[in-house]
Amino acid sequence: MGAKGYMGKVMWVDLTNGTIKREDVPDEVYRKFLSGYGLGAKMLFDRINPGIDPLGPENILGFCSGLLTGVGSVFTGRFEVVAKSPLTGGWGDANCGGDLSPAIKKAGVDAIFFTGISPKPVYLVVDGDKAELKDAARVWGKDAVETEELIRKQLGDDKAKFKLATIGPAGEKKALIAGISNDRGRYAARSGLGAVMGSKKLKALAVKGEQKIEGANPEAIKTLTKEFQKGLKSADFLGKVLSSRIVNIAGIMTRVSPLATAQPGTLWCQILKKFGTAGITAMSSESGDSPVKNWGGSGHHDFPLARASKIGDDAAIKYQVKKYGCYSCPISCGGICEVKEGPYPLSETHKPEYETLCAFGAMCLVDDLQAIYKLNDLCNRGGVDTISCGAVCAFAIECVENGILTKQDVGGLDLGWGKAEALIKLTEMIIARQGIGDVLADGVKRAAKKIGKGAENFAMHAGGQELPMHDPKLDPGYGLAYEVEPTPGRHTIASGTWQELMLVHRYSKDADKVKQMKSHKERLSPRGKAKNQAVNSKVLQLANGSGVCLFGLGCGPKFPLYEYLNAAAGWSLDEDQFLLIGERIETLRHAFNVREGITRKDMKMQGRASGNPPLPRGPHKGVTLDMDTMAKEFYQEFGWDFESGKPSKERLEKLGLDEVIKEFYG
Amino acid sequence: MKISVKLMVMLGTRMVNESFEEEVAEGTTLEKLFQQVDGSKRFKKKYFKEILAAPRPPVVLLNGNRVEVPEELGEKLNEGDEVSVVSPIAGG
Repeated sequence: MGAKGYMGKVMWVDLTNGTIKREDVPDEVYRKFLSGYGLGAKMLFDRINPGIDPLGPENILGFCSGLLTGVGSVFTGRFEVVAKSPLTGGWGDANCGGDLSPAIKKAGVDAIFFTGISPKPVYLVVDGDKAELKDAARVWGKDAVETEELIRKQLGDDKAKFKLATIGPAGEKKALIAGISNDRGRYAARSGLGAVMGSKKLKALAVKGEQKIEGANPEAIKTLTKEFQKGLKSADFLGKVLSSRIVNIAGIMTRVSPLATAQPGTLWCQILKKFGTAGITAMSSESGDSPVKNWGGSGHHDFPLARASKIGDDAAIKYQVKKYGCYSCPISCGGICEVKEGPYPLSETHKPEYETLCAFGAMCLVDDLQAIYKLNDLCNRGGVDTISCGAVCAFAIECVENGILTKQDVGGLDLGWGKAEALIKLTEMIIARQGIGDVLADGVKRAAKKIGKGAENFAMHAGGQELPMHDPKLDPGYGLAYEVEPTPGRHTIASGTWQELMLVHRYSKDADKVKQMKSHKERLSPRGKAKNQAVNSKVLQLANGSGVCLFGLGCGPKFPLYEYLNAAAGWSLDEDQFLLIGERIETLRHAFNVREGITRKDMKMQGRASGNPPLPRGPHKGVTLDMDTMAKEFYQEFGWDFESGKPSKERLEKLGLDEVIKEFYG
Repeated sequence: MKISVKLMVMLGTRMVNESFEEEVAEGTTLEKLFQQVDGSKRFKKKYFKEILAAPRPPVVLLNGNRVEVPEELGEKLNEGDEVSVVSPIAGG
């Protein structure tokens, strides 16, 4: 058997009875679904019955590496965690960079799936061919970072050869906004998958191996990597040498240079390299990208540049002591930080991402950078998604402001806009499920239901998932993704912005050429958006099957996704065939939701997010988005019925999704 | 009359973050304001010309409300107006 990029096996761990086995996976499965969450979707659709309790023994929790991870490609170190989501009740996934993905493959498998519930807390140790469950009594109750340290000690792993995924106390307590940590605070944060891990009494996995990961054509992969990196370096050169002129001459360059066509991506790449995602924080608050004051305010009025600048770009990297890059990343947008001053000193912590800075910053009107660093560290250690935690805090503040929650209800906290100290205490209560924290730990949708009294008006979510920090009224493509993608409320799949950064027409001859000089009115128009959004979504399915970082797709030069996959797996697929794989993965994930009885109306954003009612002032003054028209066109692109959500039989036959045909058409 | 201006844009590898007040004549439009600042010695570079020529036009706000670029750059300014020009970057 020749090398094919993937390992051809998965591991199954039955936590109820402690059995561990490896299972061969036919080549055909990879050819149809790739690895990553494509493989995960195939396994979960086939083996999970609809209606099961996401926190019960029937749920399957998978850690899936990417098909391209470890083959010599760049930007391909992400792993995908999959399970039925307890937060949305449908398909759940969350991906993370860090360093776990290659370790899974080096241990000889493409994915590790967990079933059942362990009678006592355990962690899984995979050391090459060997795998065993160990007693986690000594780490149960510890935070996610400390758990990593303690397990390394127990394994005598002083050289950090094992790569770990852990949960914090929030995951143990099945907080539905809990995520899964890797490498001391990188997060597979969304979909509430930390709660699934906690429900299984699985505290961690520690994985290492020595198996070689090789593609079918390593020389071709090497050449592709070299060429791509040359493109990245040229972009660097342009960024540094031409500096301010770069933007000015872009119009000329787009006519003569293929590199210049990647202009928005090139700028984005420069921001990531210099600041990480934190670089956009202040600009986003003013431009209307950031939701402000729980989506009810405007940056200019409520969180002006003078305040937003205190937590973004130059300020945000003030405490960075070294840059951090995930496995196979050439740009290193992460950072390791140390805060020595102020009331919340931190000896080692990850730099907060834009999502975190906005979720606690513009959303809660906090401009105290040290406090946000502390909140970020608390979430990373406690094991909760910073987006959801910030959102649930903003929700609580607005409930207090409107008299829905009293000071007594919130444990006497002085909860209000911009009150950082109270937010820190509230976050601790959420992680520990204490008092009001117990209610908020399950996300805004459930909290609003429990609290009642009109609290649902302030619960900003789509399908139960707290909305991310990009206002669809600036880029309606984000809103479309929030409402139609199988993981609702997700900002890392498709949007107008991603299409511009990726120049998505480079990935499909059928896509419309991305128009740069688009007026805002054109952007807001609901019609004609679906075709490119669908291509964007299909490309992302391929990326998430391959372990590709979204930033790699949008950083300037065209990412050789199809070429890498052919070289790694020994295929000769063309663009259309790859996009068909993308559509197949998307449709299978969507079908998982349809089978659970979830339809589009269950995924709609809380009205305020789409401008219903419209905001009275700010960059989105008077804007109301027509989400239904956009969504209808998107459903048509994929052949999904708008009412029932069911994919058409004809389209399913084209995709070869016999398992879905059987489910919906007998 | 005095106009308050905030400029926060990414140009190449540089983040430009400037807030200042500009004295302009009665009847000055947004476009004229930008030309006036670029033509003055306030900055070494013509920031507004650069950002307005970018493949994606910047977000321009007048008193916090969006102004369509370039169509509405002829909008006349009033004493005490606040103008923001921000890069239209939305990712992360």
